[in-house]
Amino acid sequence: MTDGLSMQKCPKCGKENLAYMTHCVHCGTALEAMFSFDGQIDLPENMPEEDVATLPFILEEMQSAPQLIEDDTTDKDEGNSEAQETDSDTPEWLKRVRKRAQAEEDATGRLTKSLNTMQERLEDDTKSDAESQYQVWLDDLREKAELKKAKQAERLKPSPKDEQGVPEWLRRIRALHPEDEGGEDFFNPDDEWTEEALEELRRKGLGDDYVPLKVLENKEPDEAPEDDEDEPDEPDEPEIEHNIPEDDLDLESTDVPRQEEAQAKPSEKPLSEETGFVIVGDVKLNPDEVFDTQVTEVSPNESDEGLPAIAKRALDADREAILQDLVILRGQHEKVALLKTLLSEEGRPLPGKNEEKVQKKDYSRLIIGLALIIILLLSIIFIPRHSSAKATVSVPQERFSRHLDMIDKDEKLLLVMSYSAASAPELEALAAPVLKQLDSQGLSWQAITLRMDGVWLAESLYQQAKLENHPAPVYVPGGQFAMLDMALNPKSDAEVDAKKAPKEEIPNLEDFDYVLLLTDSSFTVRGWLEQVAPNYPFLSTLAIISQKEAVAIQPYFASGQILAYLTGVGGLKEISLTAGINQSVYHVGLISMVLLLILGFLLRRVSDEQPKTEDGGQA
Amino acid sequence: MKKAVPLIVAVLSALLVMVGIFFREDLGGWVSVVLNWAIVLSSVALLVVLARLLFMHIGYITMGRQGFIYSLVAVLAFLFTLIAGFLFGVENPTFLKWIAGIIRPLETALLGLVAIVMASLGIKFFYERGWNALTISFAISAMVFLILGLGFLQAIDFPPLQRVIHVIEGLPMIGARGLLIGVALGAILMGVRVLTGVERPYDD
Repeated sequence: MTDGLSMQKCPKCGKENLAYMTHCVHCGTALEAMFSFDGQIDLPENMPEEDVATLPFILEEMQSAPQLIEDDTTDKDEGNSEAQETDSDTPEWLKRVRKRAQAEEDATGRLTKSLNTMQERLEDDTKSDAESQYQVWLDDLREKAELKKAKQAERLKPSPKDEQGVPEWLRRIRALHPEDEGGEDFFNPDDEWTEEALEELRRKGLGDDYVPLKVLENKEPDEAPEDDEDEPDEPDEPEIEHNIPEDDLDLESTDVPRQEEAQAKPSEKPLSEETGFVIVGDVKLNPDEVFDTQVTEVSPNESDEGLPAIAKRALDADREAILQDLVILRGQHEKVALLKTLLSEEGRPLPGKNEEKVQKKDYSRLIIGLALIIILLLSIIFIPRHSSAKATVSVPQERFSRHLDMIDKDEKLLLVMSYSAASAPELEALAAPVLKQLDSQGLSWQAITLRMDGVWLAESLYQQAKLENHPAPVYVPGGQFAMLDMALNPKSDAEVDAKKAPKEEIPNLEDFDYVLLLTDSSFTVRGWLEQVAPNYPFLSTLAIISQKEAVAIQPYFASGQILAYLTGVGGLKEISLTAGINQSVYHVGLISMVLLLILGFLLRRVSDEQPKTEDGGQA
Repeated sequence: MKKAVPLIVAVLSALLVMVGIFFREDLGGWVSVVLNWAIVLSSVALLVVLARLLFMHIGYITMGRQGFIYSLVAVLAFLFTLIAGFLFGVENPTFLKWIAGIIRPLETALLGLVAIVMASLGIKFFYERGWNALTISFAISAMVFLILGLGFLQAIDFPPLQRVIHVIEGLPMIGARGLLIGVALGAILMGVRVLTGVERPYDD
């Protein structure tokens, strides 16, 4: 490894080191004393940088000095005389260096040689790299040429058979392998299928029947074959749909407007039946043929004219490769369109967020509501309240009155309240007379409520029933769970004593004979009848319910699970009719609703007679 | 494991309650425990919802959100009711009178508004749908029962008419009975599905 290189020996270990080493690689001893030329002058440490910087130039001067290049046969006398002449101008250290250079082999030349060697190696590597890249590039070109030939074959006329009766598939195969036809054309991978070449091929193949393609294309539409009637004048193939941003498509800059036009009319894009490819432009081939997409022959850009031929071919090949990659599926196209829409709308305010809502001038509801309210107000004010004789008494109401009269004072009744404040006026008008009657009969009864607001609603009920000093209802939280818990686990007296709770706060259903449900929800009645009542068959159930929910409990009344119930104006007692509820106003309300329904019915007939617009709406 | 534990708990709870109904003497106490758990949990859930509602409105107020004045009213009303309830007690007659005096007219007015809106929707129903079998049958049934609700026809002493009225008044009960049967069958099916783990409402 060290052949040819000057070596130096370490003074300590005696082993060899390279001449330029400053320390021994074996023992680490400093070799600075040995790293010096004979007669070298050690420069002082504080030597100015400018002097140090001039050293390379000095070496260069030495290398190119005529006295060092010249042959040794130079006349010593002349040299001596010149040396003697410059002795007075040359510094002492330079003289020594020159003397050393004359005496020994050129040290600077060795350094230069090393540099040159390294440079040559680097160039060799680069050269070999360039060759391999060139080979790869050639392979690339060949591959792209094959691809282009395939497309040229595809651009053949879409007619099933040509004038000679050759089917299209055969023409394509022939176009792909022209060398097989008589071996006239040798396949050159660098060759491209140009229009001229195709014309030549057609001329050779058709012989006398050959008609130039341009003549065919310039024919009038009535002279053209039927299958070509729909084709445009230019032999353009449908281009491939793509949505790649323009920045990524510098080569396709001339086609961008066309692509944008195509994107603007998505509904007109033909779609391959088999693959769902989106094809833009006129499709000459049937979609179910070999290729699902057609490639437009890209005309060379004007900017390419100045390029060399090989560069143009490479550019064309790249363009074709890009077009091949631009085949996208319909779903991808929709996603890209959605993404573009999202990007374009980014930062815009959401519709309707800050925009003023367009007030639809439809005052019909307001008019209806106001009319209804005015009618009811007028009826309340002007129609006198009187105790009109009720027309009929419903069966549930009649039974309710009968059971209420049959209750003995020794029996006990549990009042279960579960209604909202909205239903309070209706239910209180029904319940207050009942509670007053029970109180007058000396019946013992207890009240619980399944809703929290029942606590303060009961206060109003008690006032209407004129019940003084009656305990407020006990709130039982839990709704259906609480009812089931009451049914399954009745609190005995011992348990009540153990919990040190007031007995009246924990109702034991075994102590009661009647249950009166006061509610505005049929679910409460259902829950009681389904969860609690089956466990206490001796417990008789009565109900006071709002009119809108009465229908839902009628089956329970019909089956005898509810003995009787009160509801609506028909269930009101005489005292309620005279005191709080004006039945005439109720009738006015019902008549108003009937009139409104008739009005709506007739309004629709008028609107049906109006002509309809094209989009199906009313004119 | 993550799905098995809730399933086991749900199935065991349902079975315990169901068996407790049949063997009330022996398992009534255990069922009561389970039901009390459910009551406590529902009450805690109500508290959580209340706290969530309160903090949401406080957030609206601090952010100055559009319409925050309503949030301010809601928070003040909540605090007033809470403080008054703590100070006077929920059984105080004055406190109950105040609350009832506020809540009764509000809810009653709301119910009256619902009646007006429904009348308006009745008209819109015809306007939107036109005349077809559905709208015509709706109109006829609504008007018939509104007229029957007046009570004038029942006052006419004509037995055939009374029989007709009786039949007509029985129609809603037929529909309600069908609905109840459907609800009962659906409840049975849903119970079986929960017991067998096919339906897992607790997974969400």
